[in-house]
Parts: sequence; structure tokens; C-alpha cells
Amino acid sequence: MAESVVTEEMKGWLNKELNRVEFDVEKVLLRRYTEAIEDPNPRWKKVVPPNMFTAIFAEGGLVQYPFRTPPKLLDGGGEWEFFAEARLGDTLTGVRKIVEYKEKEGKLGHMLFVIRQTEWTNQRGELVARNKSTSILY
Amino acid sequence: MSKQLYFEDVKEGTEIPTIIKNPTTMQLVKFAGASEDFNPIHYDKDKALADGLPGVIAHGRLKNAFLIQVLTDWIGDEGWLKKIAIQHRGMDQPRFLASSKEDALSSLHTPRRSVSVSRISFSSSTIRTFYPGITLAGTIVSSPFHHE
Repeated sequence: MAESVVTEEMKGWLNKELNRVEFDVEKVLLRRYTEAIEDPNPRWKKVVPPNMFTAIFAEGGLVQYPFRTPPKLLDGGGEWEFFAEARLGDTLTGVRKIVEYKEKEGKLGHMLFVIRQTEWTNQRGELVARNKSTSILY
Repeated sequence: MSKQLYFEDVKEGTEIPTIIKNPTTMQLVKFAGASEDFNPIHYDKDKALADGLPGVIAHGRLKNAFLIQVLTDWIGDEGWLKKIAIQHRGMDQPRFLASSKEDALSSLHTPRRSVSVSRISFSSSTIRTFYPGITLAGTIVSSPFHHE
């Protein structure tokens, strides 16, 4: 096993708030999104479709870390859990944290797995959705 | 939309209805705008080629949306998607969809009880036409039931 690339600074970020985003669930947001994915279900005029959490509300590979990381990145996939319906008029707040680092030797050399968690709550403080995503940095 | 699915309707081996998607470059641009994912590999062919890609590629997050639509269409308006895990195993180009395979693991709540779908695969490997679609098909392959 090569030397760990997880620094003390990186460990210091574990379970701390990395960033926070807020979305007002507006008519136009729902319409633009459902038109873009071509899902004509009329239910989504009033209700946030679950795939908005995996699409608009996901940060994909574009997440910025407050520390230096290996330069190349692969999307290691993600999982989402849904707890409550989000509706037109709600305000959703997502709080993102790094919850784990893993390291592995593989085909790409030394690989750093950064596992991030985002929890989404509504304006009443109710947990709406939780996401865990993995980035592979090498 | 579709008729309501109930727990009793689902058995091991039940096929999840297929939906067809035609992700054109226009759809990728609309999705980039809607999702604010402006990575140029999704709309700038020169940049995509310079990065060693075969051309512009579909957003992984757009494919996430497609996979989840398969499930939300299937479970109906009273159904509840509880959990889903997605990994991307390949890339897709609009119009020329080469091989891709994606797996989604999920559990859903149909009226009355939960259903656990262990694997939904997404394969576009057979489609190579001028107006290709992505075919999404799902099959429940093992122990689909767990009780709340």
C-alpha cells in the first residue's frame, strides 16, 4: 500500500459542513426540469419528482473540496433515500459533508474514495432526502 | 398516467415496463440548463474530442433521471420510491448510443407493502439507428419482498 494521501487537514473536514445549498421549489423550476427530462407526468406540476434529487440537486463530479486532491476524478455512483414528499412552495436546504475516506490500489494506481453525504430538509426542518455519493480521485 | 401498482401485482421475475428515451443534443442542452451542469463535454464537441471522448456524452445525472422515471411510472402515483443506488458503467452519446450498462438498486413502497428491486439494468447496446432511443428495461431477479 502506497502512502496515504489523506492529510490531517482532510481528516479535519470529516462530518463538518462542506457547503449548503437552498432551493425554492417554484413552478418554473419544476417545469424546466420535467421538460428537460421529458417526463410528462402531471403529478410533477405540484410534487418534486425523486429524480430531481439525483439530477438538479446532485453536485455530480463538480464538487469543490477545500483542500488539494489528486487531479483526476471518476464518479463512483451514489445512493438516495427518500423520506417525505417535497412540494411546490417548499424551500429545500441541502447540507453536504464528507463522511468517509477510503484508499485502494487499483488499475489506476492509488485511488482515493471520498464519500459525501447530503441531507435535504424542508422549511419545517423535516428530513426529505439523503444522498451518499462517492468520488474516486486518482 | 399509468395504472396503480399494488404489492400483490409484483412477483419475482415481474418485468418492469420499458420506457424509450431519445436523448438528442438538444435534450442535453436543455438538461444542462435545467440542472446547471455546464461541463462542456455535454455540449461542446471539440472539447469532448480533445478530452479523448468519442463526442459529446449524455450527463450521468440525465440517465439517473431516466432510470428513476422507469420506476415512478411503474409504481404509480400512490407508490413511493424509498431508496435507489446508481452506478454508471459506461458512456452514452446522443444519437449514437454505443454500449452502456447501468445498474440501479432500489426499494419502493407500493400501497400496502415494500418491494425491493435488486437490479434494473439499462442497456443501450443494441440501439444504433439515426434516431436511437435508450431502452430501459427492468427485471426483478431475486428476493423481491421484504416486509415493513
